[in-house]
Formats: sequence, structure tokens, C-alpha cells
Amino acid sequence: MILENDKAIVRALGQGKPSEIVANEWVHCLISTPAKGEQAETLTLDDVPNQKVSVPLSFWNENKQALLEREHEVAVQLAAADFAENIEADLEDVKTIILPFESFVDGRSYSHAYLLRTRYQFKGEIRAVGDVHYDLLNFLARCGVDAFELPAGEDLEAACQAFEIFSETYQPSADGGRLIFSRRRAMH
Amino acid sequence: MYKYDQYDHTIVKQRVAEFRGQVERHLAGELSAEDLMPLRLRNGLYYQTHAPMLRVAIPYGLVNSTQLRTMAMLADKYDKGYGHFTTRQNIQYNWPQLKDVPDMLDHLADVEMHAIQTSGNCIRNTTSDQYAGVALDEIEDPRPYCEMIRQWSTLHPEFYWLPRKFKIAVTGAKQDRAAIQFHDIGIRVLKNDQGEVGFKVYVGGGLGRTPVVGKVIKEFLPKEHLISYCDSILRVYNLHGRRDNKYKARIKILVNAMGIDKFKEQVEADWAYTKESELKLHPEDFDRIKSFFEEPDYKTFEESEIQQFNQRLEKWYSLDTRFKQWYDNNTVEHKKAGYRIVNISLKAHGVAPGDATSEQMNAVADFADQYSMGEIRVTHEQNLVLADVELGSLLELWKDLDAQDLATPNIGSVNDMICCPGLDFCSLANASSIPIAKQINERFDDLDELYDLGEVKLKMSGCMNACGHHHVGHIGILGVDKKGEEWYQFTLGGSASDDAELGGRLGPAIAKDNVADAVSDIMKVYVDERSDGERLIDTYRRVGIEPFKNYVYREEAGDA
Repeated sequence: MILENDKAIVRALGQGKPSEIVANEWVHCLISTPAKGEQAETLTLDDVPNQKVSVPLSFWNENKQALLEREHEVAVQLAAADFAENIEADLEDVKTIILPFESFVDGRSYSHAYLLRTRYQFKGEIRAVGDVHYDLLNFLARCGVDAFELPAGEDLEAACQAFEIFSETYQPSADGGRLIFSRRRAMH
Repeated sequence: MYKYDQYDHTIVKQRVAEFRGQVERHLAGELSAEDLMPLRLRNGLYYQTHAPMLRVAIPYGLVNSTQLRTMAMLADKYDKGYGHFTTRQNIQYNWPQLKDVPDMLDHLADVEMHAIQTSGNCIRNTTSDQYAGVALDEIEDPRPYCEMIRQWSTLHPEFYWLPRKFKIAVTGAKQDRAAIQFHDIGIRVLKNDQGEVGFKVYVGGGLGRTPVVGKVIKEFLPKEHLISYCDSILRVYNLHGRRDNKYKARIKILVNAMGIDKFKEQVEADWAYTKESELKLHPEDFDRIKSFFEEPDYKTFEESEIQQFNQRLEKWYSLDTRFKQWYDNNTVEHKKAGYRIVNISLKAHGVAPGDATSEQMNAVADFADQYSMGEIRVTHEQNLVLADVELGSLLELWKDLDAQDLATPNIGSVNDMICCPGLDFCSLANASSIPIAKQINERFDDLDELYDLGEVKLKMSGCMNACGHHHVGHIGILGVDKKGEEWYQFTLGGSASDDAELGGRLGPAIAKDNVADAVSDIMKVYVDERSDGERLIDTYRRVGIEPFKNYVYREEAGDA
């Protein structure tokens, strides 16, 4: 399945900076989890459109050389069921990592983003796509996601305000935040 | 107790504003009921059989009189004049309207309370020993550590969409009154040979459909690592816990599937990165949090004064036998001479276990101010506690409680049951539990008999989700549905304390009308078999399940 989103995306620019709406240049070649009894979709190099595109990590691993030689940047999708450590060796070649959300209640990708930013020092873009809504953006951003493709119909202007809901936090994540106790320590 | 500072106030207020926005968007048709559901759950709002239910956190069971009065006001204004105290030290309101819930939460925020993460697949309210800080057998007060866990786990961005709910309990006493081995993480505060404070950490315990006793993951965790170690356990669970089947999604299933050694290896590998990070606690952090839980200004009584108190108690006993029963059953020794811990029974005859009316809540708030330094505790056995009562005030307090129907002398007895809301309120339940509680109450109405039967932990759940913790009842009762009829499965010999054990199944399920008969049969076998000083559980452990089984099912056996 090719996910196209020609509308726009919201990009969080980090603590204290305003977020922005930018045109989306990406499409995503997703292989969704097959329903019971159904065959998994297959993807070949010929299916991959000639533009900025993301592919699943398994496909990247099988076709890495060919993908690196393409004219447009190729991003890698880290599925919820996968692990950040499986992409660690490729982080020098990858500038954009896509976290596809099949369901917003699956919280594994929050840990992926956190580990990519803090443990593997990934400095490129981490983009959440799929079942991603206004009410989730703030926590995703705190875990290190900095771009969000919202489904059609979502109010992008409103989404830019999602990062302003809380002015204080209790704990650090990948946001450079601090544990509340150390903030209090610094006050006294 | 803990006092909010600017950070706590800001976070809790902004949280209410966020939820108010979500409710407004839903009522305006911009947020579907389906998308609202997980958001409202994380603000304590369930939809039950008849109406929404709001579950409010009482962190580690501690409230002050002002907070209790606010809880009473909410019951009057938004509910039908009562609240239901739960086995996890929360309070539930059964009839609020969705549109009113943000206002309720604002009222709570004004008195430093919230409903954040009281439901949904996230880290829930941390529970603890109801006698924390006053227990005779305490090694260290667990509440400062509970409060630290509360703050770290509140709105944690990474652990907000877990495979399933996640419950943490902490005890600091020799006797575990917080059932830590039946929690996702159980923490025992202790001191090592050098006298340093640390924690013994259990993981993967739980009740529900698959009851499991927690396993030790860390024999001694130095206290500065409390947060970082919990953080690593949560990360491993978040990444590896099953999400394909909600009945297999709790951490206990993961720990069993991986094996505790492999699970621990993963946690320790993650922790190696974080133990010296921002998450490491400093001595000042503990000092600051502990300052909120310092001992109140207790009076120091002379030996002669204590003697006088005791003489007065003796006199009061002879004046009213009900007072003596209450004193023996409902009050507990306090670490300070001249004081007593008083349990307030919410298990009065004919009342759903754990229910309190607004009038009772207001009265208890007044009693707390008058007799017990203005604080109240909520127990996981669904009672309330006034922890700091002077011996000299006991008779007056008893009279006051009695006038509010709050002095039923049944703490720890068969009538002090733990009970979930059951079919009457809960959409998950297979069977009712409150009418069964009533049936048992009526059977054991004779309090002298009760007194003679000693400590019996009777716990009842209306379905396999085990909110009433039936697996760890000395007598456990589970409601099951058989072809549309309500039946009750009995277990015997469970325990949530240090000798943690799951109850053994007595036999086939028992018909609704015969539940009290079966309990009374069990008690008869106990009375016949017991040796001096044995509780039901002791007798059961000595003689086994057979004598009980044979007697309860004697008629079926005769028919066969």
C-alpha cells in the first residue's frame, strides 16, 4: 500500500520554538500487518515510486545498495513490532526514520523514538505517520518525534498548538527535560 | 502529607484544561466516542452498565479532611450522595455526566487531587500500607517513595500507551499490608547490613484471570536508583509485552514467557544506560520529599498517664460490651505510646462494601480534625483509618462513629469482605457481588459469633478480572455465568500477605442462594477442626482442603 499525503505535515521544532506547517514531499510504501488468513503484501523495487519515499526496514535491508543509489532520498520505516537496535548499524546512511502507527494505542514507537534519540544519538528526522492525532502529538514530540503527517481532515493550525498544552513536565524523555526532583533541587 | 508546589499545580490544572477541551470537541462532534475512549479512561472516566463512572486517585491512600469534604461535595453535587472506595485506594463515583466531569476534576485539582491514569493501559495509582508512618513493624515510611513514583509516572510520555494497565505497590513494614507480590511492580523498602535504605523489587505479580505471585528481580536496589530501575522495567515491558491478546498483555505473562532471568537481563541492559543519568536521585531529593511525611507533633505521655488511660479503657469495656468488641476488632497498636490506630468500617450491615455517603464522609472529615491530626487513610480492604487517635479520646470517637453507623466491629472478620461492584454496576461482571455480600452479612449478623471466628479475609469478585482479589482471600468467591445464571466458585487458603499464596479450588460452583450456606459450612469445619489460637487460614493449611470440601458438598456426595 502506498500512503500519500499531499496535504501537509506539522513539524515540531523543539522546546520553546513555534511549530510549523510544511508541504509534504514523501510517500510511504507500507506493508501492513496481514489480517488473519491473508497473505502479507509484497513489495519490489519496481513498485517504489521515483520520489522521496520510505520503505520498511526489511525491504531496506534486502535492497540497501540499490536504494542508496536512487536519485531521491529513501527513508526507513521502523515498525512498532521492530526494535530500534535493528536500525542502529544503518543510522549513518539514513536521514529520515518513519514510525508508522497502525493504531494510536500501540505505544511501542514512543520507545523507539526515545531510544533513537538518546541511546543511538540519531539527529535526523523522526516522523510519525498513520493513526496520529492532535491528542498524541505532545507526548510523541517529547519522545523525539519531530514531524507528523496527520490524516486528512485534521486541523493543522490547531495541531501546531498541541505542543503548548503543558508548560511543565515531571520527567525527562528525549526532550532534554529534567526529572522534577532535580529541577526542585536547582531551585533551592 | 505531600503538598503540591507550582509544578504539581500547573501540571494538574493544565491536564484538566486538556480534558475539558477533549470533552468539548466530543460534544461538538469533532472527536468520536471511539477516539475519546482511551483519552477519557486516562482521566478516570469509564462507561459502566448504567452510567459513566469516575475513578479518582487517592495516592497511597492518604487524604486530609479538606480533600474528604471535597469528595463528599462531589458526591452530593454530581452523584447520588455517595462514593465507593475501591481495593486500590481510589474512590469511584457512579453517576456523573460526561459534561460535568471537567468541573469535577477542577474541584479536585483545587484540593490537590486528580483522576489522572486511574484507568486505561498506563501506570496506575501507586498503593501502599494503610498504616504507613504509624505501624509498629515499620522499617521505613514508604510514602515518600510512593510520592516519587507518582510524580515520575504521571503523564510519562513514553509509558502512556502500554500493552495493559500497570500497578505499583510499596510497603515499608515487616508485614506486607499492600499485597506487593500481586502487583506489576512490588517494592519492599528495607535496610541492608550497612544500614542503607534500598528496595527489594518484585515484578510480574497480579491477580485477574491468570493469578501469579511476583518474582524477585532485584534483591537490593540502592534507593537513588528507584526511578531509573522502574523506568527500565517499563521500557522492556512497553517494547516486549504482548499486544495481540488483551488477556495475555500484562507484564506477568511476559515475565513468565521470557523467564525472570532473561527478563532481568533485558532490564539490567537498559538500566546500564540510565542508572547514572538524569533519573538518578540525590540525597536532597529524599530529604525534601520526606519532609512532607515527618512525624506529627505527638504528645509524650508519662507511664502513669498511659496507665490511667488503660484503666479508663477497662472501665469503658465494662460499661458497654460493644465498645470492647470495637476496640478489639477495629483498633490497632500505634508506634507511639498513648495513641491507637482506628479503623472505620465501611462494611456496615446492608451496605455495599466500601460505600460511604456524603454525610459519612463529612462526619469522618470532622472526626479526623477533632481526633486524628486532620488526616484519613483509605485501605485496600475498602475501609477508612484514623491513624493518630489518643487513647483518652477513644470512647468519644467510638460514640461519634457509632452515631454515623461507622463503628461496626468487623474489621478483619468474615463480614469485612473485599468486594467489587459486580453485575449491579460493572459491564464486565458475570454475577452480582453486592447482594451476595449482603447475604453473608445477614448470616453472620451475630457479632459474638463473628468475634469468635477471628480473622477471615473474605474476598469476592463478580468476574475473572478479579477486582475483588478473590484468589488471595482466605475464602475467595468468584462470580461465574452458567447459561445465564449466576453461580459462585469458591477458593480457600489464599493470602496476599508475606506468605503470599493463591487459594485452592474448593469444588464445583455454588448456586446464588446457597453462597452464605457454603460460607457457614466452611466456618463450621473450621470451628470443629481448629486448635487453640488458629485462624481459618492456619487450620486450612494444617488440615488441607478435603474436610472443607467433604462438608460443603456432603449432599451431592450423598446423592451420588
